[in-house]
Amino acid sequence: MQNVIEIRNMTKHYPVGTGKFTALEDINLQFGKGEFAGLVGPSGSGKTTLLNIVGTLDNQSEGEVAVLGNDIRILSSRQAADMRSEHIGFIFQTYNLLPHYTVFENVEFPLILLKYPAKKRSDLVMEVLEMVGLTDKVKSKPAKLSGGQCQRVAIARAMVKKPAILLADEPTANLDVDNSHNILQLMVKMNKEMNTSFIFSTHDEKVIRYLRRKINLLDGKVASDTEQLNNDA
Amino acid sequence: MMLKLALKNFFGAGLRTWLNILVLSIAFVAIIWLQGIFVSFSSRAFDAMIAEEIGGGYIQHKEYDPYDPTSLEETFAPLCEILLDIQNREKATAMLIYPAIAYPAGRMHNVTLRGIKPEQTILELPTEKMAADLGVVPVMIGSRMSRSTSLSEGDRFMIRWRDRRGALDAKEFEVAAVMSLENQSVDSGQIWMPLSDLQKMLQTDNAATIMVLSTEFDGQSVMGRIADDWILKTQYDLTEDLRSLIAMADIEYYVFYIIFLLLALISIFDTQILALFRRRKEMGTLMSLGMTRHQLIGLFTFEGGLYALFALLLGAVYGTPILIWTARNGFPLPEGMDMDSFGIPGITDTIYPDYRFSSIFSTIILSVIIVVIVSYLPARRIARLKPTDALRGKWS
Amino acid sequence: MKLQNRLIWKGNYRITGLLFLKAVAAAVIAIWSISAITQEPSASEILGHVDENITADSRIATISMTIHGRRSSRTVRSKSWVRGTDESFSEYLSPPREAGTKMLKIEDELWIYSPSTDRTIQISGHMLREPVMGSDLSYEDFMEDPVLSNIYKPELEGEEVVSERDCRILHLTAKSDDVTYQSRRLWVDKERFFPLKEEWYGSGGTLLKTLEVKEVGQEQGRWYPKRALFNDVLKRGDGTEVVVEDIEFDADIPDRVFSRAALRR
Repeated sequence: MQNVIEIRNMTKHYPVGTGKFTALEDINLQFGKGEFAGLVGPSGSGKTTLLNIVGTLDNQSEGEVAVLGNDIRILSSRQAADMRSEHIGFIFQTYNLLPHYTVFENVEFPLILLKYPAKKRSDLVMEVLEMVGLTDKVKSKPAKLSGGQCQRVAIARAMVKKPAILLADEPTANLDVDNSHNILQLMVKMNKEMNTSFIFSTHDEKVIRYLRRKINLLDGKVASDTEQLNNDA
Repeated sequence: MMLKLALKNFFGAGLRTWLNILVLSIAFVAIIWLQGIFVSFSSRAFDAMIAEEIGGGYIQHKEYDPYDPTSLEETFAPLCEILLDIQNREKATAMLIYPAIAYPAGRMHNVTLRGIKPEQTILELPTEKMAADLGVVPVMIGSRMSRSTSLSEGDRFMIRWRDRRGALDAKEFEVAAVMSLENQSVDSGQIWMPLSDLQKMLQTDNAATIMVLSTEFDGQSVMGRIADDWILKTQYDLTEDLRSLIAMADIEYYVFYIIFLLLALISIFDTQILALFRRRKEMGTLMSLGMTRHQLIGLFTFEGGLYALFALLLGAVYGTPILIWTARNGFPLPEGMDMDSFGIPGITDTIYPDYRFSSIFSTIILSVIIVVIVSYLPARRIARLKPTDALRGKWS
Repeated sequence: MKLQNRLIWKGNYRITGLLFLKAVAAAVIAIWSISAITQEPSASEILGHVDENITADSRIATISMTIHGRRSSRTVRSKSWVRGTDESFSEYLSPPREAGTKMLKIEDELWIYSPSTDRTIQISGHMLREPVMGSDLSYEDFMEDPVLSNIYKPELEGEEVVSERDCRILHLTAKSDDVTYQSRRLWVDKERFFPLKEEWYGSGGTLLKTLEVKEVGQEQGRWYPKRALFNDVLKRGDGTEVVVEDIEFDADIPDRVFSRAALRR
């Protein structure tokens, strides 16, 4: 299987006062196409930092990180932005929808950045909204939606461009049990249908149960990296 | 794409946006109105000066200095044939300017007598009214002079002067007309009378201080053929002081301009700064969706620029009728406000703003550019924003 | 020159008187001779006497000038030192605002020193026509050559009683056309040869200024106007009253008084 992400001897530290804080240390990980993997660990273990580096929003301090074959350290900010635009979807704990846009417009936005023609955009948006089950909320604004609905819009927005990689940072942290399961089932379904690699960062047991691969992070180091065969997916 | 997003964000902010637009639009309308008044000031000042005072320029006695009344007693000379000829051909009119003391109602006033032919057509003054036979010499004064001396039409008063040789004399005169003059320098302290009477009073035949040229006459054509007692002062030379005055008034206008615009800009700037702090997460999200920092800076600057655009639209909606109304009906100067003290001629009791497309256009362009710059300055900070920090809602 | 003129006038008067006595004694009867003694002096003689009375080799005087305005009056007191007709120096004593202001006139030049600005300025041209401290007198009036015979041709016009004194009316006409007042009228006391009333006219004959002597004084045998009222008739108001508080004739005045350095002392 082809690796979409390769991380070798990667370390990340932040300057703290005169010294530095090591967030990630000597990480070696590979993610293949179509993975459904999770970075698991308590807060401060470096999950989000790792996701951000993989998502080209941040740079490592040492070591190598290649995303879709590109060494992210030599990418210009423009190239990184293009990469995110084309190949990487993000889902956040707080949904981060554009408040003044309707559901349709929120989902359409990534396609506009990709300069898709209007007809194609509309088709793709309706298609993905059907998948997340929000065709009746097309014209609603985020403020009118429930948390679960918002997160489904966020998923639709991340998936509408059929990215190679989807990075989800604590996607269920603000959702109740039912909604969490709905969301996760939706993501599992998309993962299978679109062959997108999903990487989560989470410490939520509900999420962990769905993962096919569980990478435990502890104090910035990979504590374990295991396949989970008996997952809910 | 950018337009739609900017518009959505812009109007998404609701009341705050409209307040900013309203304030900015008021600033725009006020600026244009003010500019109309200043344009009106300056153009009328020039018009009034040319019509009532300088015509197409002077051929004047070389020592003539309007700011030195002492010198007036000696700064005249007899007109030569050539100068008399251009006067006969109505290309110029002679004026004899001489100091005297007037005693309206027994009060002393230092005045300047201006002798001019009643039948002249060079200056736009009702000099023909001095052709009246009143038994005594008829004179004309401006309305300011009328106010300061309490003289009105039909009033008689004494003037005391010193003739060419230095002997004092005094005589009674009658106000034949009170002129409504725009230019105070031919009004305050000035008494107009028939040239021949003044020449008789001074016992100088055919003498004059200046020849006021017609605007169609080129004074240069006679220079060199006349005595070197006379020099040419072109319209441009004579308006030099006025031009520098107007340049100063222009500075005042820009001060007002800046104050008005600043009021609006402060609220826009404030909104922009606030947005940068409140919308960090949104910026992070947009970056994660693949927008570059430059696109973000563009977006925020553009949003700011929209204030200018909508303020223009709103301003046009209510401003146009207001501006048209003020142009038609004028703006009455507040009671007791004397524009003469600013030294700008052409200002009577009501100012009619003069709106010119070119100046409105340049004002608008300049204002929009300033608004965009003010929007851009805070947005520039985005360039230093790390997407990870933005997503966490903090600045690096 | 001016001094010489005055002597000549004096001489003329004596000569003419003598000639008359000779002619009368030789030819005519006693009654004629009586009338000859009271023979009217000529206009020129009268004016000569007037000049003699007005001018002195020198004088020191304290003068108060009250300017009657429309609403209020104010008084300016000054002390002046005059020598001949060309030199005069005066200092203002009151009111406080004007006190210390000094004026120096030498021939036809006039300087004023103002203590508030500590500056000396020369008054010339247009400024000479400004009224002195708001009075009915201009700087020019002070500047004028006081020897009337030099600039005017007199003519007898008649007689009139002024302030209960018999006066002869002299009409003066300027000898040249550059004299400020082209004609004047003087009411001269028959006995004292002292003008009790004076009028100034413009070249067209308009009355411009008047002087009325309200009170006369005598000092060292000379008559002088103790209290007089000047009036600019074109101007409304009650004129300017000049009172000579103290006068001394033919005093010795040192040269340094008439120097520009004295202005700042």
